[in-house]
Amino acid sequence: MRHLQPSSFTDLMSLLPGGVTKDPEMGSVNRIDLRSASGMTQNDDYATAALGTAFVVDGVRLNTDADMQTTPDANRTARISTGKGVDMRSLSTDDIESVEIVRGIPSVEYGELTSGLVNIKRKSGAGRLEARFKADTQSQLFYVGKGFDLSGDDTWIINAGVDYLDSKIDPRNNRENFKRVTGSLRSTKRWTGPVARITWNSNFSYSGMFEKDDNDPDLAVNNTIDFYQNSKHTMRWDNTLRYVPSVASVLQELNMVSGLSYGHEQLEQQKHVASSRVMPMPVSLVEGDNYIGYLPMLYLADYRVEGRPFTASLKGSGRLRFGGSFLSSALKFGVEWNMNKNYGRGAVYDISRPLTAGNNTRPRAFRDVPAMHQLSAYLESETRFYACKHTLLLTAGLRETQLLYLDSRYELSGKPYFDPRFNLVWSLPPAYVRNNPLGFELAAGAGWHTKMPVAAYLYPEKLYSDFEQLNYYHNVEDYRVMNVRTYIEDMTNYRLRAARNFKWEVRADISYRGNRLSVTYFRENMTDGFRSSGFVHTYTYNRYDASGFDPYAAGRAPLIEDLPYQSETYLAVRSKTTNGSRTLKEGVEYTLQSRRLPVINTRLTISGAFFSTTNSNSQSLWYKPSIIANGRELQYVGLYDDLDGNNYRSVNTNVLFDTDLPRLGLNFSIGVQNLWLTSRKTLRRDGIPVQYMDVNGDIHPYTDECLSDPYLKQLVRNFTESSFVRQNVPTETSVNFKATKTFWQKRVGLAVYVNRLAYIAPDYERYGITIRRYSTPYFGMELNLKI
Amino acid sequence: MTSNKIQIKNLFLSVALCSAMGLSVASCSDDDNTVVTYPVVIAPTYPAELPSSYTVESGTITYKELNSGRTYTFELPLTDSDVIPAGTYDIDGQMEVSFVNDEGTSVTRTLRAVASQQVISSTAQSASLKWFFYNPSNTLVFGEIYFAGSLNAAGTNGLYDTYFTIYNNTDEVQYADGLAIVESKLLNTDANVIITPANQREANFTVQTVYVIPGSGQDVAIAPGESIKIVDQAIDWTAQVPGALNHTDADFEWYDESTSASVKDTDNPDVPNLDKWYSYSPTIWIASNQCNRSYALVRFPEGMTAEQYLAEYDGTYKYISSVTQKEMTGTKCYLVKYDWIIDGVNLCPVESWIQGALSTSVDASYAAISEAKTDKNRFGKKFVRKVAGVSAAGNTVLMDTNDSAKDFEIVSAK
Repeated sequence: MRHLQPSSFTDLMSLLPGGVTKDPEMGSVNRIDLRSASGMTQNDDYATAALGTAFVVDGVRLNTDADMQTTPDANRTARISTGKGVDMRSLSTDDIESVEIVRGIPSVEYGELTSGLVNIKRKSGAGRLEARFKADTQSQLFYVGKGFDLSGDDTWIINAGVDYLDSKIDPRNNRENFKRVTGSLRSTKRWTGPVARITWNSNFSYSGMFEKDDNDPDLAVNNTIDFYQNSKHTMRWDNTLRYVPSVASVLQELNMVSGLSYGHEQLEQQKHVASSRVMPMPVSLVEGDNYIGYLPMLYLADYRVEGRPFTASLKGSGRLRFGGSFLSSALKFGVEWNMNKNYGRGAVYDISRPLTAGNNTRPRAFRDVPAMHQLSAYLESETRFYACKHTLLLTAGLRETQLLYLDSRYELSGKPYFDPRFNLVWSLPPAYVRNNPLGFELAAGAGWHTKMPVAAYLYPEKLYSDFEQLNYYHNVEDYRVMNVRTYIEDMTNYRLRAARNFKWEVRADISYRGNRLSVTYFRENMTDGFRSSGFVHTYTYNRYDASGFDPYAAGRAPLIEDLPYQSETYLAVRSKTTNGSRTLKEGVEYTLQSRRLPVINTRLTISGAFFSTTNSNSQSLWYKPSIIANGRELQYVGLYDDLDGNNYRSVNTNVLFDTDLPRLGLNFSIGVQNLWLTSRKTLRRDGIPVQYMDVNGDIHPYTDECLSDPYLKQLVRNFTESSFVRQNVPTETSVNFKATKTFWQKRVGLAVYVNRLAYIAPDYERYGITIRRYSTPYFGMELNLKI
Repeated sequence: MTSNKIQIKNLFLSVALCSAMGLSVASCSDDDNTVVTYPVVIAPTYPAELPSSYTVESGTITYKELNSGRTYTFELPLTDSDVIPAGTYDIDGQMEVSFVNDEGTSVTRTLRAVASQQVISSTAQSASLKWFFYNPSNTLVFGEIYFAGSLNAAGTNGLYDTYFTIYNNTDEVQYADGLAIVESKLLNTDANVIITPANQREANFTVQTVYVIPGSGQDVAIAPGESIKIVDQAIDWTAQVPGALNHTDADFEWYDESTSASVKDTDNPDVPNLDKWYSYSPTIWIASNQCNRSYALVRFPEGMTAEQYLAEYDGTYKYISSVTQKEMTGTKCYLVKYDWIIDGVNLCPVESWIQGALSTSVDASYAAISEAKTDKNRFGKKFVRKVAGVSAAGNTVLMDTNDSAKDFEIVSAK
């Protein structure tokens, strides 16, 4: 891992089959996307795979469910991690001892996941002071850490580490940057008695992320500065108490794990807003008929979001073991409770001076959102059969999860979810080829996985809609008036369920003389991921006619009570979070690892994958075209049962030659990454609604006659046949180089890396246009010290 | 050469021109040997309405070389002595033809043709010209167009104190009732190739907004030499931002009722609103701030209703994107027949101009507010039709040659 010279956890992803080395992208959330095709367009409607990948650090899951930070600024949504799981930018790789990334079927010990598990173990042990300084094209990173043996006999060890990253999104622009500070203090204390050994780990961690960008005042017309700042401080305190009997018994171990975390999140944005028109601005806080004012032509908007997410968890678990001559069995069990709540004040701003004129929400305190509690329990048996030199390892488990204290209106209230998961590994007796054993292993796994919705999904903001009833912008200021009918709607989808994913995979392993080939086929089909989908809402309001009103005679502006009116019904499609997102992942992963060849001390690793990923809606979609026909919006909404989505495919092979020359203290590797093909195919849609709804809420079938109706024909969505043709991007090869040289008993290490030292990507044609691809190398170097 | 065609109004200027001409002739004569000329050859197409037998009464074709700026004018019909040097030319032709029409009477009509960037070289000497009937006697025309707007309070962008006027260019009272104002769907800056025949620039005008002046026939009278002003927001903008315009005197405003939370319009009770037959935008319509679309005044056939129009003239079309060469679909648009258009204008900044959304028969060129599309100097400037002269009845006649580059000038809006 050190040889990779990573800046953040994102950089480790290139080690996975199908992974491709990428340059750091610190200007947006780095979300994890296991077993997904390369070249996918990220879309928040398909973020459940990232949200459903659990990050567990030293036994405690990083819980982001209480994150509710948000911004109305559409240009910054890529920096908001709410609902996207763990932002891998925030994870430093120093202090990490090992990482296990379970892409297949994880043990039922781990829950709150749909797509995978990242299990991180941090270093524990006394040693020299270690320091690392890394610089690359965009960033500088500094780390220092040390392990102390306080007791002198390894019974009490304290590890401490601090890491600082300063990254510029574009090296030419020092006004936009990303900074990260992480630090941890980790204590491990052991007591060894005649009956048992007790280990107590207590870890305190801090992680800070600071994003900032502002404009150059010298380039702004009035030398004004508009800025965006997002800071996140997270403190965690985790404790693990482990009891292991010294004498052989049925009880193997007992564990108690607790986790506490508190985040201090602040998003601040300031913008000089100059309006281009006189804009009526609804700021009503009550439902019903409201008189409203107008936005000034020039103002300073100040927007701030305060989040204070707090999480707590407690887990008790144990392991029992039963033995026999041709059968041994272990039983794992546990109970886990966790809660999360955001104590922040939420968005704090003057609603009459909004960042963007289109503001259909009002400030709400995050602390008004109820806490979420979750209780889960699991039981897993691990049975090993031995027969005729065959070994069969069957792991079968069941995990139960439910949310507690949830309002009974929710379908999720009191609803338990059961995740059965199986893994079977069959080791065949070795065959001997030239007196060397040839090992075979076959494995298969299948299981259900469940991720509960996050707080932002269960408790969305209220939606404010304002309908013009009287618009009277008189030449005389005193006579001006505007009246709207305000609707305040609860956008909660009480029918929201947990996202569930069923995965299965088969794997075959062959090993011979230290060489190993492993091939895995997998398929997972998640049909109820979280996304926003449309719901039809009906509104009624009055249109007042002030043409008969004489303000000069009355000496005042008209009031709606004075005026005749007509009732109007309006249909709108509003978004709520639903389980309408489908992600189908399918593919083959392979790894071939050679033993280190003698003389040249080089190991060859070939890994790669074929991935096919389909993202689409899984429920019919309501849609209303945004046009005005004959003076009003359409009075119909169409229901379309076609699939709005894409299929992505990628095939890649990474060939890594890594050479270790201990006598020279030299380690270098050359990685040849071939992305043979990436492709995208938009799923076919005909754009003809199956049904439509009128203003009375009645649903009618959409027939051929509708196509000649001046209004109903507008519901047809037009697509071009060529949009559905698969678009292939042909092969792309890059050569990456990494080298590390150590001096003075490995106390000083110098390392360098170059991404895309060579880059070969032939031109290709699309629709008769030649597309040329080129790329510039990305490089960095680092200094490691052990004092 | 062309000196005899230049209308010289000023004696001093003519002296200056003559001396300049003398210099150029002198310099030409020095390297006469090296200039290769080619015969002027045109490949004409004629409008379908023109019968096969007709007589050319008179006419000229002007070649303007784009690099040197030189113009060469030839009388029609062309003779063997009409030659031009190699170069890239904009070609402009006009001729009077007489023929016997379907009713059996002999008529004389004007034909015009324009072509841009025609290369004349040793391998290509033929220029294709598409002639169309030219009828500059429009009744109602765009008088002024102010779509860039004044500078906003921060000085960063344009305000929407935008407007246009419709001018009565005749000596009789004209009625604007039922007149539609339409904005092109196509940008004059894109090179997309339209596949659908009905949406070809020469076939129909593809539009994305249709606003109609209300009235039952004789409600909106415009006296000869007078105009009506139609504004986005009928507001005294001077009270909002210094230097902006006062629109409380507008004759109409286009008021857009909006159910969106983000954008709402204002409605001045003293200024009537336009009827809104169709708009691609569910909220407000903003006329092209970069002034790179085309606009037309449309007189629908008698009895046309909004519903009938919406049902029958859907303009959804297919095109090849000039950027990706991919076939795409253009949606949210309607078709307007050229027979219905009484005046049209292409607007575009000079650097961005590719092709007009209107047929060359409606506008042979375009009016430009600036060289570059994001030039901030465009704010506060408007297109104003030039004055052609005074009619017999004493009314100001605005220039309307269906050639916006010649018809409009740019002046300050204040």
